[in-house]
Amino acid sequence: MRVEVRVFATLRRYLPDLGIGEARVMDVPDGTTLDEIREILELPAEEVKVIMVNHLQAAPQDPGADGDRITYIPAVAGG
Amino acid sequence: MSKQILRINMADLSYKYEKVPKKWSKWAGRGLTSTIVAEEVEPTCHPLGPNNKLVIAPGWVSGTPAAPSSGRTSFGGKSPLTGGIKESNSGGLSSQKIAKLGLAAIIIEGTPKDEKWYTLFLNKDGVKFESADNILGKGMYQVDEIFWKKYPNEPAIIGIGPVGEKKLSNAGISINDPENKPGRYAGRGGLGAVMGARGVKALVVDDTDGPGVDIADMDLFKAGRKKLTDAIMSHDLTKPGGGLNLYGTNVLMNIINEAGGLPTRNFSAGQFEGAAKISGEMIAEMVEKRGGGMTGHGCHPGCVIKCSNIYPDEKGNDFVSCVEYESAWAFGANCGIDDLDYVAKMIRECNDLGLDTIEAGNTVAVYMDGGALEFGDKEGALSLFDEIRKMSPLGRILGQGVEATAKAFGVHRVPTVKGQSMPAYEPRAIKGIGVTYATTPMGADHTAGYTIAPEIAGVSGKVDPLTDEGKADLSLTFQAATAFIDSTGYCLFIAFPILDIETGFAGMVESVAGVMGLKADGVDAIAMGKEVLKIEREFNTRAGFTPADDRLPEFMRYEKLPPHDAVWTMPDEDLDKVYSWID
Amino acid sequence: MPNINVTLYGDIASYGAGKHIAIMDLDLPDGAVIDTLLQEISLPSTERGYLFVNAVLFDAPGLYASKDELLQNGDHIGIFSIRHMWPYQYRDGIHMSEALQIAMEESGEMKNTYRDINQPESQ
Repeated sequence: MRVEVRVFATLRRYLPDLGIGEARVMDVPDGTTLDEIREILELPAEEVKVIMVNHLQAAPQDPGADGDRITYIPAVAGG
Repeated sequence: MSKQILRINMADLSYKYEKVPKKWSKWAGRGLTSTIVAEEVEPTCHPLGPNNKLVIAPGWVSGTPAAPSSGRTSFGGKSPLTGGIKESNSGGLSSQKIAKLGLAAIIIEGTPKDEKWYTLFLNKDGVKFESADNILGKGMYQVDEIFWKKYPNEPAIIGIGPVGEKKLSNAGISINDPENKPGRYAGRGGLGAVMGARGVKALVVDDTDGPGVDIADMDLFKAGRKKLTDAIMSHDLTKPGGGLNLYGTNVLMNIINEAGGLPTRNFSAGQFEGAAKISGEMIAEMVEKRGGGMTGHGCHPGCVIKCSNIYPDEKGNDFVSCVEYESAWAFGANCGIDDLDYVAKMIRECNDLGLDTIEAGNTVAVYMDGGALEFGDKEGALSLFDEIRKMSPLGRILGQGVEATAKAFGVHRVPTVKGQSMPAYEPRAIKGIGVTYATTPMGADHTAGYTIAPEIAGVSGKVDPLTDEGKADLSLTFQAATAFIDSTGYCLFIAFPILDIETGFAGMVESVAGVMGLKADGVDAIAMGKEVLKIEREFNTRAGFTPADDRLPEFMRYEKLPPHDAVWTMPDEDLDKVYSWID
Repeated sequence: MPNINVTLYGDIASYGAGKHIAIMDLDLPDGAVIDTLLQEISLPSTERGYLFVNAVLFDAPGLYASKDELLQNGDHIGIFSIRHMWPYQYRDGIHMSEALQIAMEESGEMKNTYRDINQPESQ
């Protein structure tokens, strides 16, 4: 399945080639979870606070689907 | 003088005043109605039978001087619609007048032996049992008019329309507003049928020369009242000229529609192309264009938010109060109707006949889904109220609410929880509200889980909204905070400024503590709210409810809701976590 | 050149020649973002509240997370005045943009308004 991945703020340093708002398009096996995709991208688990898929919050163990727009968001100050 | 309980027995047409027992002395409003119902009503009783009771209680601050927006009344009993405990909350004239007579609660029990109907007239001298023969069968508009001519001092009129007289499960209890129209309702859950089962057509309350409300610590009360008033008056939503004052609760129509969460055509879509035409903005336009009616109307004396409205007819005459968001949505988007005048007409029918507008609108929508009417057939929808007025067999079915109507017409898309139909927020789009609908003891209820900031509620750090556990804890905190506010007599809408302004919450607690004679830190809002929820939950368990009743309807798990093709995905085990602290 | 449909709700409808609601179709230059749209209709960012793009929440009163979001041909944008209310419990779990998600986490997710109530409205 093909997914589009974006990262925000401090997580950008793990994907330095991506410009702001740019997506990394990935082909992964069907049913790969959001947590597994994070592993593939080598984003440290403890730094990912929120995962959004198609503008909704999702859980790490949720499987991705073809065409998903996935965003990994770090802990941000305050709140 | 300390408050008293007024116990009215319809079996022998007697009444007595009782001292508030110590075990009830800390409760008011919803806390008190639920406590009394749980203690005195057998949970397995038939809701229309002789052993159910109607309990009416103002909140702690109702009737106190200038407590802002504090005129709410709680009505309680076993619900004929859900089969569980019910608290139904209303504005209008009743709360302050009952409180000023020095009453903590009114308990109406027993059934008239002769199957006659009564009007109860209550003032400082006691209760008069008068024959209701002359008003039987009359709609509430006429009843209110008759009583303000008959009785002096512009009393509160708590009454049931013909639907309550026939004890149908969607019967609401009407309370008159400051213009003496039957525009305020203790609508949800069919408590009008419980009042009907007591043989009471109306309860008229005149508080002239009543003892008033005792305030134990006036300084604390005043300090709290000021903080709360300041918060309400400064917040964008509740201040004069703010969102609620300008557009009323119907300010939500366009927002929820833009978000894709507006249940449309019996919960088959999340957006309605006619939403703008039935919105609060459209009501403001109508009032301006027609030169009559009003927005910024207060539903009870002393309200500073004034979110109610009076909708004008084409000639600019006052036609109906109030076109609320939920009512406009139920007869509008959920029925596919975009004509505000017809929506207003149907609301007026409900006010007169004594029906809950949310359940009634959803009933029409389900009837349409069954094929007897097209969605959008506004004249056909309006004509259904003639059936109810005539008490035809169809009228009796419709008067039972959504589930009975769905069964009669073979509809499976039944948007209910515990027998009560959902209000104007689609859980597949707004996932948090689904948790409230599923788990509150009240059945599908949008007012059960108002948000209080975890930090303000003192549970910060223990909840993480991102985890499943966090969601359950948050829902419980919201439900508890709401149960507390429902007990104070304050309008729930004070929750909006309180969420954002911490001194507002402190002020609310201080004003309550001042009345009760406690220190502010002796009033633990969340803990008290949780106690109320526990009482209600345990009643429901004894009434036969199980975790299987804390679920959303099956169709929401597989029917994809446009525009996002959303379905309800939360696992049942997560819903069970909300009340796992009890079992 | 993206063509977009915009609805303005509340007193900001005056920016679209309406009283309480204004509906407009606009042609914007290529690469237009939300900020471009606001400039086009001269709507100060401080006067708008909740903002939706195609049923996704992109902004809340007092937060300006969406200013750099790209607009596409056929987009529908709904913009509400700063006074329109939307209590948290009625938007818990809705679709929203990543930028707004972050902005809300920074400011506190559950507020009814993010505008500093001590600031006069025109700021």
